[in-house]
Amino acid sequence: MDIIASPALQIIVGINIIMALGLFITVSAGQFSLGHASLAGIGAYISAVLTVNLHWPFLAAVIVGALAAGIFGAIFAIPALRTRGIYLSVLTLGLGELVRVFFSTFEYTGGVAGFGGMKGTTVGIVYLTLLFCLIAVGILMRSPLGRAFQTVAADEMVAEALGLNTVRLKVLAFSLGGMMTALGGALYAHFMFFIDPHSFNYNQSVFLLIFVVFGGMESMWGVVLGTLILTLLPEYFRGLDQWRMVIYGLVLIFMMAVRPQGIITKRLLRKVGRGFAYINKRNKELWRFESNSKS
Amino acid sequence: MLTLTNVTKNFGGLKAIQSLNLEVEEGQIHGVIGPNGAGKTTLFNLITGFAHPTSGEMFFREGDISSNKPYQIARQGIARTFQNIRLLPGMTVSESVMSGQLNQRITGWKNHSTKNIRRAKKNVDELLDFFKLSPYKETFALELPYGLQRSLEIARALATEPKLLLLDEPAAGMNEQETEMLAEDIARIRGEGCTVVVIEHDMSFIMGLCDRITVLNFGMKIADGTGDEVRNNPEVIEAYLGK
Repeated sequence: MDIIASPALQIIVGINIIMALGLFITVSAGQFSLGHASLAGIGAYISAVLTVNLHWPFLAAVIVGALAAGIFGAIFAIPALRTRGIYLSVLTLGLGELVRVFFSTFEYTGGVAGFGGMKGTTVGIVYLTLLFCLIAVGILMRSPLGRAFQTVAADEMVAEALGLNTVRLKVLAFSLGGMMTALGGALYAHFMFFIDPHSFNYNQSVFLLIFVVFGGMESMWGVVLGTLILTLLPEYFRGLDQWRMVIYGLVLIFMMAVRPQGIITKRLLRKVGRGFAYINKRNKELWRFESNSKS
Repeated sequence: MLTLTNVTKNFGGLKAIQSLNLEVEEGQIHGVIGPNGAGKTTLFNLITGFAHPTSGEMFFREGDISSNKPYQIARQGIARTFQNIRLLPGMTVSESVMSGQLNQRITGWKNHSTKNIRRAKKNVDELLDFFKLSPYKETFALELPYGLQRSLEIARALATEPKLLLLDEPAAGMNEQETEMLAEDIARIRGEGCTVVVIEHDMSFIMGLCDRITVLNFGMKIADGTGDEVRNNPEVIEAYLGK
């Protein structure tokens, strides 16, 4: 249990959850993006240039980085308008690699050698941001806009027939999701002091998607739990050296075989909710019974 | 209310609809019948913007809708159901109907107000009552019995607050009792002031229900009129029974 006391790990867990929540927004509209790590990279690079080269204050740089990545997210959405499902995933994978290659050859940010000198991310800032993100996603998922995302995910043709502009909604899902992931990316850059294009390659995109799917992509709590487990798991097995990734893989295979819908589903949340309601009702009845027998 | 003039739709060499003229009048229940492959569903896809006519024009309440996108047409007040029921997986009955209310509620940020959402919820509850779906509110849409799945699809379409409702074979696969209930529902929908167009195979169902019937065969209109007129039309008899 002692490793959880390390602030570095706490920050990584928080940042991973923020990035996964961003992807969750995009996925909630049915858009399985495999390019979100590169959006995090865009947020990281832009905010890093702003703080290191232009001496902007940390907070402003992080926010501007995230907003800029939101615009790139909308550009990512362009192929999404024409492809769906697995084809979309492969396309976003390609776009992500394109961004990575761009940063590898872009001299201004150091190319493959990377870019350094950022600082400022603390545990407090990460968890305040995370709290903000959780509230934002929670509100979004209950809002008409979030429900429209879910309708598009469930059946695009029906969504369109119900008067929803699926094109606009998909662009928004990529843009808003990309923004939140980039927020995580910007915090990551200012925590690591140093970033290079490889910090944001397709591997990271795949991990983000696994975080979302593993915990259950029907609710944000699934995403939080999935990210938490899958970020801490390799750390706990660090002593096993190269075997730890084998264990990681086995856990994933086991989950997909036993519970492909993820750990937390809507159905589970409802059961828990009913359970609490039931206990409440019973407590009330018991209390009423006792007070009746007293009188 | 809905006017189609000289509408033609070709899929490559296949003429799905050939220079079709159609007039749907406000407040009526209009039936569209015809053998398999006559172009009935294509007609619906054209009207709702899922396909665009090769030539010809379509007008809805005086506005040209020939090249509109499906969501634009839906917002103008045309709702539809699908031939193969398309329910929203992972959503409950009330959430599904809520989806139909969304387009009324998400255009513009001010519509995210609690008052607006409360009104949407009230509308959803009323629709669920109308279709006797209230006991199934929290059931997942895909777990409903078949007859109620059809009702849910119609309720969802009505949630968009349409002026014209297009039903694509709503009675398919239903037993007699369910068909009767459906006919009652359709009559009640018309009573609420919504014009209805129904595609159907079941002749007795459509004869009893519709004010006016259009018969299609090989993409062409072969008859148009009241039930009796259509029933006695020699071309219709030929199309259905052969010479």
